[in-house]
Amino acid sequence: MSATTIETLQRALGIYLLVLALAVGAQVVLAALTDEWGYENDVWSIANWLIAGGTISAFEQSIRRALAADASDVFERVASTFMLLLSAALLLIFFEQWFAVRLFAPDGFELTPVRSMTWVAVNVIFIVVSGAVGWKTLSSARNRDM
Amino acid sequence: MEAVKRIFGAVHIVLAVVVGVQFIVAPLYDAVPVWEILNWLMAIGVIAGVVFSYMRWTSAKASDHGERVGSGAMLIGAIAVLLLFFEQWFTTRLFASNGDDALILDRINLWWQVVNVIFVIVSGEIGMWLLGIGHHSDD
Repeated sequence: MSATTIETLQRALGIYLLVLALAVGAQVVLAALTDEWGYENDVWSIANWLIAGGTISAFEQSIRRALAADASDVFERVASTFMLLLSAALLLIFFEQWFAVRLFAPDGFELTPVRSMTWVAVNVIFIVVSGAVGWKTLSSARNRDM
Repeated sequence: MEAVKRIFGAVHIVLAVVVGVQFIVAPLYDAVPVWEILNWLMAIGVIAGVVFSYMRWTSAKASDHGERVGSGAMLIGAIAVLLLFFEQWFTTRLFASNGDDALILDRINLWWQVVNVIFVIVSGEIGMWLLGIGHHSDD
């Protein structure tokens, strides 16, 4: 795969993560304003598949960044490690929650208050991770162009 | 000592992967018997984690700020997961008297989620440090 293709893919991934962070953020704000969280509705059913892809991509990008961090740049080492840990936590929490509450939930399952709270936490962490990783991926691709 | 570090490094990585996978796939089947075995292995892992984190922290050079911060964060994480894990394990499994109140069971489940996620991250980080993966040194 040529360097140009890789950069184009990186750029597309960065835009995907940023747009997804904004979309999930808008959905959460809208839900908070109307107090209609609706975690069972069709919008979240589709969004969860997109979030699953975004979560895996963000984790993979965080691993790349942490491994490529300059040993002499303490700030970059701390920041990349922090983002890696946060994206790993998001990966675990999101998939456990998605499997347990939606995809493989037993018949008659009802969302409990704690599980509902976990969805909010998952979404907030996702907005932070996806936004930060998307921005970093996009700016890295832009810097390579210059 | 290097051989011991490598063995425990591999054990920590394997434990992090196993707990992480089990945590995600647990909703697909009756996972309680597996957790009962895994909890004993996790208990050994968290104790070993604190020991190795303390060793890293005490050997960190004062001039290497990155290593000082990294080793301090790892030690804090290891102690936090040790306290959370044993408290949760003792009160909800080994010496449990939870009853069947849905709200209490829901909260117990939430705390196990917290313990498992922190355990995977801390154990994975300790394992990678012991095996020398992705860790830089200013030497």
